[in-house]
Amino acid sequence: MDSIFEHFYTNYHNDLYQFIFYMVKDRHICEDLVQDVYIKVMESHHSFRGDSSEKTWLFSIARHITVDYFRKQKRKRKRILDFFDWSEKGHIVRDQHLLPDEIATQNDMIRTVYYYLDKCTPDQKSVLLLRYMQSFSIQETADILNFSTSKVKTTQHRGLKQLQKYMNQHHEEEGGNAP
Amino acid sequence: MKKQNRKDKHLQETLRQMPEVRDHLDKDTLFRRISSKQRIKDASHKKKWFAFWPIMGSVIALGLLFVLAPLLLNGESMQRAGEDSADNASDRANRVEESSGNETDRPEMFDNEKERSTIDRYDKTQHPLVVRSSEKNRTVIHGAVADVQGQYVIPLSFTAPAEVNKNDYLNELGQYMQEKAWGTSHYMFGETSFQLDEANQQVKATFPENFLPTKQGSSGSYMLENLLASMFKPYQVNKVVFTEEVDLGKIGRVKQLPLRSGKVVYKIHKPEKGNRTFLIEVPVTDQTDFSAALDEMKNDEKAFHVSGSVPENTNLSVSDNGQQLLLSFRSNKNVPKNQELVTMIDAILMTAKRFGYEEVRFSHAGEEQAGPYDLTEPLNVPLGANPISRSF
Repeated sequence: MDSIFEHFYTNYHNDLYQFIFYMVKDRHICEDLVQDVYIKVMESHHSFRGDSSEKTWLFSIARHITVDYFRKQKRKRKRILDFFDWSEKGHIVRDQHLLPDEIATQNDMIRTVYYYLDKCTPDQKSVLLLRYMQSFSIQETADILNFSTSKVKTTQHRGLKQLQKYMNQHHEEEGGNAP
Repeated sequence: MKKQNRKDKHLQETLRQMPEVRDHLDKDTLFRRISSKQRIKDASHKKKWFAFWPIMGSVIALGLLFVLAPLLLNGESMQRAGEDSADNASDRANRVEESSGNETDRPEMFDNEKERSTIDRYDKTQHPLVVRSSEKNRTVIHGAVADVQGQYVIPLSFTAPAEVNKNDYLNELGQYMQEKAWGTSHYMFGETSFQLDEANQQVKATFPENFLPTKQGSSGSYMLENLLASMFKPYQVNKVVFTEEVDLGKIGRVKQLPLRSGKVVYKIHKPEKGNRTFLIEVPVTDQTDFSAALDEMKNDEKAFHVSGSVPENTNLSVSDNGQQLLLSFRSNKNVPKNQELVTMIDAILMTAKRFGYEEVRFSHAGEEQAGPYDLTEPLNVPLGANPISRSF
């Protein structure tokens, strides 16, 4: 077994899987993208200069591959429905995926947050996942996303606001029941 | 304001508490899939790279022609008058030389002596790698063992009279396994009782007490699934029903297991401490087409004592016509010879079977016969791989 794969799998696999899963919310797509991340890591590990931490480098690859996947999806959708604007109208598309067991068994608040995370833009979602679920610092998040630290702070603020807005709307409309 | 702050804090706290979603794939399986994906990616890069040079060559040639054509035409018109007769004479001489060259090539390509010697060089002493469909009035009872490293499935074929009750034979397979001599893993189902129900496309399996496929590591359950698929998919079985729940590690305790008909390619496995060679099943992704499968069949995996079944320099174009796969050698210079050709055909026929084809037609092989195969006719896919000589 490749020693680079072994090293990254042992140290970061769970975190990597979480990040990509929460971004795409589909096990099959997640598995496919995780494989692509490892291939990229094994191919380009020799060029890793150590400017950032290994984990930050891994997550920047994961983020790049995930965004690339979203772009391809967007192009596909565009071909089908030319006027559809992903960033503006993405929230119209309902989540088609079944809740994973780990989420389905959680309380109402967690299920609702899981659902409404998709109402954030991919940038906002990435920042929220990296900052709160993965506990990366502002600087590390900036390194991963290739943002300035102030852009991370703004995106985080807007993401939380967006999420809160939909949570409030949901509680008003459906009396707090998870979708 | 205070209420809003409280809400924000609560939201941030919830984000921190989002539960971990577990990956159901174990490390070995993941690595195997990555390796397979990487190989397919490499093969497709190689193909693009090979395609680049002819295109680039044509572009350069056209460019040169465009630049040089006016110069050549001018020069030619000035010299033509005096040299016409001399050119014609030398052209004629060249044509004679060319035609005599062709004549010397032709007998070599269709040399009957050579064909005969090719047939003679087919190694009849080697264990056959497939059960050919010409075995009339016989049926195949499929068994399977894992290689000693637990990476890949080695399918096994036991032939029996066509009218037998398969269940009687399936439950006796353990007696005919020679894992030690073969250098493979132990047969997993030596004490298992199978009840094949072809009408309902299912098989019932009763495992012995304390049967634990995961005791050899996390990949045990993956191997269990692949072994069962290799044994029962040929009978169109879609699921295995267990009489007792079975612990499949990360999948959990299950009462039944659906069998996937994933694509595999067949490569050559010579166990380190074994007395024979086998065709081994190497999984590829469902998106793999036959052209990519042939590229994958060229790759060795030395760590697992697996070698490619298609020689590296073999160049085949792929097309199909319904259930018939058409493979054409792009150049008969690179057609493998003797036993190597027979083994390649065995592996390609088995792979074609797993890709849903019924026949394979080879063209431009430069040979009419390869061992037992008549290459002038379409070849039926085999009944099974790795026949075990002790038939029932």
